[in-house]
Amino acid sequence: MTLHSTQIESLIFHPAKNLFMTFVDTIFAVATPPGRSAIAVIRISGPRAGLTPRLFAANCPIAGQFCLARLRVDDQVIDEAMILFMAAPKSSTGEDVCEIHCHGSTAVIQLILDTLTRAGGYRLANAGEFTRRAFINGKIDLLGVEGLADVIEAETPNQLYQAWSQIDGALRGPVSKWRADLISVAAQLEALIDFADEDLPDHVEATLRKHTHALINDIATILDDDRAGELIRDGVVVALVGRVNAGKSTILNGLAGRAAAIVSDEAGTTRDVVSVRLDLKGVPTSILDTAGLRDRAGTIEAEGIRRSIEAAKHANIVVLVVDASSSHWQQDVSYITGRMGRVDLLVLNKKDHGKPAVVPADAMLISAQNGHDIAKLMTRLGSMIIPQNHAQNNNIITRLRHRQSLRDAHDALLAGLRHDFHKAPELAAEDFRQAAMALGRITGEIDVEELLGQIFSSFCIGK
Amino acid sequence: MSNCYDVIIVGGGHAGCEAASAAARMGASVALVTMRRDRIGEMSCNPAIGGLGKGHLVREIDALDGIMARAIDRAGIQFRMLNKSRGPAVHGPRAQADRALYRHAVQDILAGHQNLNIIEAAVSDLLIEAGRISGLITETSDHYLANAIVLTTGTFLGGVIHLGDERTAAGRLGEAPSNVLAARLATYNLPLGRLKTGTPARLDGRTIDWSGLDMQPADDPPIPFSTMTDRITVPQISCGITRTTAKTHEIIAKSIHLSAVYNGEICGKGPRYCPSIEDKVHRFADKSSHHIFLEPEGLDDPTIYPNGISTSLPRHVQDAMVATIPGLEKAKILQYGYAIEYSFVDPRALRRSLEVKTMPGLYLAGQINGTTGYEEAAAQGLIAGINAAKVAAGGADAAPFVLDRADAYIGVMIDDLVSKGASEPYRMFTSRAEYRLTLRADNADQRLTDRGIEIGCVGVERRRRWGDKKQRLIMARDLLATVKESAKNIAASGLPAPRDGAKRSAADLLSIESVGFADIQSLWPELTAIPDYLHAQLAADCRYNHYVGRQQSDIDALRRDEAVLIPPHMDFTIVGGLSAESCDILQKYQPETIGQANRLPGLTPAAVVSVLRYVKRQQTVAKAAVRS
Repeated sequence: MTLHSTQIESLIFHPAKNLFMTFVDTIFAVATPPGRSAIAVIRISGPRAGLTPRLFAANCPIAGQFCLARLRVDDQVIDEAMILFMAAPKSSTGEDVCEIHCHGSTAVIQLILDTLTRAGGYRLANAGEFTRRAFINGKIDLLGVEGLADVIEAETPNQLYQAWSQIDGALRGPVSKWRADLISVAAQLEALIDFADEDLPDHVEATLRKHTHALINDIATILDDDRAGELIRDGVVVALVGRVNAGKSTILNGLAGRAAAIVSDEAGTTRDVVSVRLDLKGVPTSILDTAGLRDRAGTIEAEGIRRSIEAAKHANIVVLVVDASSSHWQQDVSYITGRMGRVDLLVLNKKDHGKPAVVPADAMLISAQNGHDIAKLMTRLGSMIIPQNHAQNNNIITRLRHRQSLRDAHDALLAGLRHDFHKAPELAAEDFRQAAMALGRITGEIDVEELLGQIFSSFCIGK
Repeated sequence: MSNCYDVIIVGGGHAGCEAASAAARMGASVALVTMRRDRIGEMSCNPAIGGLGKGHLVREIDALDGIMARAIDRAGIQFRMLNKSRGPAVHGPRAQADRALYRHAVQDILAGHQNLNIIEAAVSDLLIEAGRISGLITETSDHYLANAIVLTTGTFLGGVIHLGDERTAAGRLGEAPSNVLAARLATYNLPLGRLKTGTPARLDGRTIDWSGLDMQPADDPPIPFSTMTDRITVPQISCGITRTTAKTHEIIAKSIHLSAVYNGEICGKGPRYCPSIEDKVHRFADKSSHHIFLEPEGLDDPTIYPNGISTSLPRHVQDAMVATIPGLEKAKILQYGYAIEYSFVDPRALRRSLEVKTMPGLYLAGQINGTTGYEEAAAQGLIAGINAAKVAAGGADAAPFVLDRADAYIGVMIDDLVSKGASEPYRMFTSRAEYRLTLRADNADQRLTDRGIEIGCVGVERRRRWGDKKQRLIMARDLLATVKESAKNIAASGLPAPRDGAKRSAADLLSIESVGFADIQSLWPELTAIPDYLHAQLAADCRYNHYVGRQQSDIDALRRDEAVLIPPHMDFTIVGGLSAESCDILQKYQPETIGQANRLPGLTPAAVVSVLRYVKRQQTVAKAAVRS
């Protein structure tokens, strides 16, 4: 099964933007972030890449080497830069690639870009175009493309490890093997169909069923990972809910203070929700404090509940914090739990002010003032995010897309087995073909136009 | 009789006969040049037509009004539907033939074409004028002129027969090869390769002890191949089944070095799916026995074709081997088995119309293109004959008649051949067809007959029959979708009721595997108005409806690619952005469409897209030029 060319075309020529690109064009972009910096890198890829230094009256180094050169525009020296040249196909895009490492001055960068734009045959790269060319030239497959995006986006070391493991074949390996297994299974089924009048051994069908079952089990095992890989990649949201005076803010500050690293201060201090983003067992985690449940004459106001429900909807984990020393904490628990629909962890705070007689199983009794208690809470949250049995770095599904394709393949195989191989082998074969296509979608071997559009447009220029 | 024709067909085998008839139906004046008139329509190997995948081809040939299906219906002595217990998409109609009856039927149908002349001669050379084929010369130095020529020389190009260590130059046992023609083709720079195939010894049925053998009867009633045949009138016979023994295997193992296939004499590649008995014993040593079908070659002919033991072992080994097989202990060999090695043209040198890319007006069909089997040959003959007639009538620019992979098995086969070539003798299988559930033997007429009518290769009688059937199909489909019943009533009549409780139509119920036409007729008596001969076809349509819908987007993408034509004789070096390797592949194989380029092994997606952009840009430029 091959990609149809109209599908390939859409990989290269972004249909939504109606761009006219050809490989004849040489593309360029600034690879470093915008703004002043010590050094900026400008990357040029395409047939004219090697001619670029000449536009600045400089020489191009031989392939695989670099040189230091003065760059001139209109006989005026504009910078001293390091120039690198890589010849096709031994480059990141598979084309001739030239890199200019100049000083990160706005004026230098602007002059270089202007010169390139004015020169014939060069144009500014579109989003993700370098990677797209690498993909089309066979330098990288779809999983590699995604992995590379994840490397660039990585905030925590675990995300980084996972991204590199994907690039290096953590998923490609098993998927390729399953595809090979599936092809051999399908071949046996086809033999039953096309050589019905031949002397086939009796055990073909039994073997076929056995192998298909094994394949289904293999895929199911990988699917049964509590989505650990996706959680590491996408991060999780923990919502703290409860009354204003239950101590949520103290818990939030405690968590923020103890975190190995506060990943970023999100500009999230809206009127109602305060959040911090931290690294919890390698998973980027946003903790939301929903400062909404105010006490009004002994009851909790409806508006606060509504906001909390809203926050909880988007949260992976909902933590209900109550004041253990208050007389009505149990009513609070049942009322808020009932209205929220779900609470994943109950925290009884302020144990230093008075302990309740009974602590529900699974609930945590803490004092937010106590550093040890906050550490315990972090451990608990961490194990809720990534269950113990999946805590290692061997999660091979990192995206919903992978999961859906594997699920499709799994279900198609199951559907195939449901057919009677004697009465309807052709329908089983069709299901097997669907399964092979689903597996192929993961590595990008077949029909991938829509997902590629998404993948490539999520790239920033120059990366 | 004039020596000028629109189309000349060279060869009177299955490709040649189909090509001659197709060109004649298209209205061309046609000459069929063959070495022996009496051997037109000869079955030189296994006397059977059809099988899995092959049966589909025969039905498709019939849908385009070809002759093979009608001929076998007049000559079949054991009709069997293979895979009958399975879904209709993989049913394989097959029939044993009486070789003489088959030959006569073919010759009789050809005789019905007033504009077809048969010439008995050996061709020695082709005539070329201004870079186009213009005619041919026979060995007796007669010149015949034509606008198009279809070569269907089978295994006759450089044919060599091997029997033990004996080697004989021959096209078929007892017939001379076409070596002069082979030499001529070589001068056109056509890429040639070598293939081999084999045939078993023929036995005298009167010397076989049938008493202890299992017999396999014909289907009752036999189902015809052609929609033009109402019923089969030829008497039906049974075939015997026997098996090789440990003793057989011992003899073969001991003498295997004497086989032409193993003594290094043969370099051509043989088919993996049709191994010689020495191959089977050698490669599948763990298998202690192989079955053999004893197939009579005719009603009045004592010759038996032992299907399953093709061999090129020396005569004395064949004698000894046969004597070890139950029932054949005293069997007399009438003709020894042999292997034949022959030249073929790499079909990547052909357009989808089967025209040679470098020699306009010259078409190749059949085994010369690296295929095996009568059906594969006939299907190519049909396409080549139609296209030769189109070019003869409409000039070199006439649009070719091309079937794609979603149209027909014929389309799958020709696309495979012209895109990927033949690394072993090419045989049709149902698994080669991506859209197998749509391309069924039962709906070949639905898929193709209107296409045939459009180009003019379908005769009056079939047009009438098909027109009538089409009307009935439309009405029946309408009826099946209209009649509906509640879940409760469906359950009450003992049929599987939908769980959602919603109403279901007769078509919905037919899509369930266990529901047949009789079931829905008991629920809706008005459905008895649908004639019996439509039942299978309608039921199959309903059964696969869900799956076929899923395939449609894939088919759409395929058709978009096939619609982008690459101009002939394109110079790919000017496309730009192509690697040297991609450029070489494109220059060498000159794909005709973007779809075909995409299926060329070794071509990168980037190269395909570069070509696509180039072609589209050229089209835009051309359009702009026309406007100004």
